[in-house]
Amino acid sequence: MDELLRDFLTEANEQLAEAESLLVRFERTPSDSSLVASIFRLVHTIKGTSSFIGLVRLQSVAHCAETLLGRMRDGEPPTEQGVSLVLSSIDHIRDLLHDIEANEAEPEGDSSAIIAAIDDYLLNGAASVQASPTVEQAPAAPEVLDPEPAEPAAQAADESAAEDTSKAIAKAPRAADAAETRGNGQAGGGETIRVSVATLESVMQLVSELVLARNQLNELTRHSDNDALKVSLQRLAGLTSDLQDAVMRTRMQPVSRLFGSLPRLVRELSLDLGKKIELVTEGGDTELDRQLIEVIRDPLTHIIRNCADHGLETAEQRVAAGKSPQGEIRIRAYQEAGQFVIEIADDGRGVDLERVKAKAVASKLVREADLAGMTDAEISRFIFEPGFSTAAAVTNVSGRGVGMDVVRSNIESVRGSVELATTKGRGTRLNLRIPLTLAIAPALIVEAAGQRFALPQHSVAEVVEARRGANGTIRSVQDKLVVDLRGEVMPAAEMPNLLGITRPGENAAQSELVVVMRASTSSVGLLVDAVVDVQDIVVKPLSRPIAHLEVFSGQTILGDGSVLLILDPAGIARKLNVAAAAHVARQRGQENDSAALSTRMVMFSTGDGIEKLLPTSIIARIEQVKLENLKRSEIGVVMPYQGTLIPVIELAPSTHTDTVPVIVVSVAGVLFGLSVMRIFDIVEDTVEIDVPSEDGATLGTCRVNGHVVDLLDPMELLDRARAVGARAAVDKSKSVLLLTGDARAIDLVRPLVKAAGYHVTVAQSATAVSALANTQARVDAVLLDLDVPVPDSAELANISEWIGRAPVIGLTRDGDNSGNAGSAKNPNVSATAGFDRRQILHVLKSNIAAA
Amino acid sequence: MQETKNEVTAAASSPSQPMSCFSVYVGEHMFGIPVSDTQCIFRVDKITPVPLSPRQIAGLANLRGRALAVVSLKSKFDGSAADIKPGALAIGFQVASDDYALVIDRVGEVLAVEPGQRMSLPSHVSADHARLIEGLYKVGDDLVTVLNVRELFA
Repeated sequence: MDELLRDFLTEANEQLAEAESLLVRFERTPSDSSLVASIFRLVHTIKGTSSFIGLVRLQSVAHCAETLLGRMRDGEPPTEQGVSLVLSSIDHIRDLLHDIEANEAEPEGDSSAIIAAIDDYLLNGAASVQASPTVEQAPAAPEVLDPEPAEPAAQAADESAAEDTSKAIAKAPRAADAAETRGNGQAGGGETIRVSVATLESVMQLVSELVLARNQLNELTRHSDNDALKVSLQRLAGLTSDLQDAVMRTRMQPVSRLFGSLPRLVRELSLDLGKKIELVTEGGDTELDRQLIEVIRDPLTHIIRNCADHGLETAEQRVAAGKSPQGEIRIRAYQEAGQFVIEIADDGRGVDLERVKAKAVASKLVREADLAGMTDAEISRFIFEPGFSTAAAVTNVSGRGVGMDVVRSNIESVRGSVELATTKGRGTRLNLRIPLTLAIAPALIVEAAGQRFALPQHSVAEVVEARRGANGTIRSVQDKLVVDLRGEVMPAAEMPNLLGITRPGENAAQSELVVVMRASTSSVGLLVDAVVDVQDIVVKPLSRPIAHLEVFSGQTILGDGSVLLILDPAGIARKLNVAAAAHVARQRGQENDSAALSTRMVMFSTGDGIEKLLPTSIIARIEQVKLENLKRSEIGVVMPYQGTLIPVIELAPSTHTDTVPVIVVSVAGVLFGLSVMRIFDIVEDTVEIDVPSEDGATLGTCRVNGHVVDLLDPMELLDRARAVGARAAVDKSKSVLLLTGDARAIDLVRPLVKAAGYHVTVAQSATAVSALANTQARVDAVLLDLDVPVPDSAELANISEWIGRAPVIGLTRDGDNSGNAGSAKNPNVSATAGFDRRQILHVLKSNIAAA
Repeated sequence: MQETKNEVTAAASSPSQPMSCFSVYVGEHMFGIPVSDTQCIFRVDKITPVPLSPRQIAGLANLRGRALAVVSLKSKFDGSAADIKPGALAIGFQVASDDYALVIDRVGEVLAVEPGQRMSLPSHVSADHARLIEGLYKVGDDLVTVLNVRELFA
């Protein structure tokens, strides 16, 4: 059965039961107007939902009952006939529900009898109903399976108004009947039971304690030699993790619950605005913590209103712009990198950035001079400022300037973020990213003022080592501490001062760590002594006696049993009184034109002699990854990152160190890693490409701060990363055989070719070649080292049968890198490439494509 | 360890029935704490100080996965800064669904307190202290000051 329908049936049956009991109380104490109001609401809910699901007959009956209840709510004294009629209609609704549950559709026939009876009552008052026989017919309508329901209503209508007792007697069998009906219904749809959230929470709590106990046991037995104990402990540990997952899942609900109400909203908007709008939803089965579903409900509604009102054009405008007259709002939910993402895209006119600029200046959010240095993305973020609206006219749908800032603060309150991308004339896309569950968040554990604190990772922009003093990063201005980071000056705080802890006799360290935190619109630097750890914490609200402390947002208990306080960046910013100065922080230190065009980039080497650059804007994180965590799976190299696996492109040859620096890049919503040799620095400069590249991997070569560097092409890297992912689906990747006697060549060429998405087999000796030939594995291309051939290359003659028509590409170090077919050194070679990364890939690509 | 599942619900009023009290000691002073209000008696392992917090909050302690606000009974009465050593004895309470630990020096025996033993509080007890006291009882030769747990953590 449709989930929506099933939920409705469960809820409606409960609501009916409640309404019924309330109604009986109401009849006894008609002075209690809150009772009838409650009943009215219950019936109204049933009416609303049934209309939404398209249960017309149910809706019409509920509508009548609602009208009748409305009269009573407005002060009309409840006559027994009136109450009986409501009860009859409730019975009738229940019978309908019963039928719907059995047949997944409304039964044939109509409910005109009961509707007519109520209408008659409403028009003529109690007397006429008593005279009218229609009530008797109503519950006995053909679709009623059990003839008994006719009894009470008929009885009620026949009895005189004074006889309360007989009424009560009549009620009794009805209630029993109702219970039975519900019982049957639940037996039919018995895959779910309703459990109170409090119960789930307490189970969750117990599991958290179990996890703690397990961790303690692990610690105690770490040095034990008792294998039997260790084996059972491992089992316990595994089961505990599974249990934790399972309990977490009980809190998860598919977002289709959220999507369910959207078609109606869009239909109404479409009518109100006179625009043709199509709604497309994808990923409704993506699951999210139930609490979070409620949190995003309002923001989502608001964004859709905005899309429909501001984003989409009228049909005429669309046709004039060469688009289809029907606008589209596309909503997609998916999980990515441990986060839940909901994407709302329209194909409308896009955000008018010029108007945003003008409005931002007019509302004094920014100085005109600063606008020049801002990217489109930065400008579009003004939309999320309080009181900002670019709508020329305020409509009743949207445009009152309350909204997008509320959207942002709602999402940020659950540690999420909002991104906006817009293209003029093509549309706007909003991404809401929120954690999968509120209960667990990754956090930095920092040490400061002799104590450990947790800092939610979503609010940490970066951690830098900094020096104090006139030339250092940490300076004081008017006795206030500031951090001057790459020209951006932000307020800073020392933890002991901030927390009122005095550390007598202790000199400030020469070099300190600055944690740069994002607090809504401003940045704050927090000076800490050390970053101790990064771990997932279970966030709990602050105990009441300390709940008023604004610098803390919660508390948590770590695996070792210690209690940590969670720092609140927004609270710290408030305490530093920087909220008012939010936009000053945006101001760049240098206010010349070149600063506006300069880009911040990470400089690193991949071991091929020339430094590489990537803009920091696309870098999510830089990590030292243990070699054992770089897994060579069937689909390429992957590594664990925030709970998922991300593809890793190996830019540097494998080393003999234990860890490898990996740059985690996020391009177009795809996360992937780049393993490199060494990371040098973050540089900031204008980038002007002196030597454009013909190859895809680099955009070109340029001079930055006196270094000659290659600027990598993020899009090309993205393609390669996607290739790693795509290979999961296409299990047969192109297979390349590398034949060389040179160990160094293997180190250089193999990772390169592999990173490009090929499957690489290496043979260093004649025996290896013949062994491979015996397997008859498919080969799509051969890379043959011409300078340091495999010893006893005569074997090569034997493999031609095996490799078939696969191209043989010669690799040479002597500069003959023309890529021409044929070679003096080996007649089998169809092309040659120099010992150059780009050429090898290029020749390989074109030859495999040609083959 | 003794454990009961009680929550301090209503503000304590004069008992009309006999009640059981733990006798607890801070230095030489003895106090009575109604058994029905307590959750458990345990030793505080490690306390996380809470900067900027009210003076009587010594910090947060972990009791089986729950964080309890630790209050020192001594500092509650003499106004001194809470100085709590690891391993200190504490009584766990739940007041309005918040968890608290009251640090004491030692626990004595359980006393039965009869309504008839109630005496009026000496008039020179300061109002601040009187607020924390449910009543004074004469049990045998001892004078027992029974605490008002709800006010202790208010």
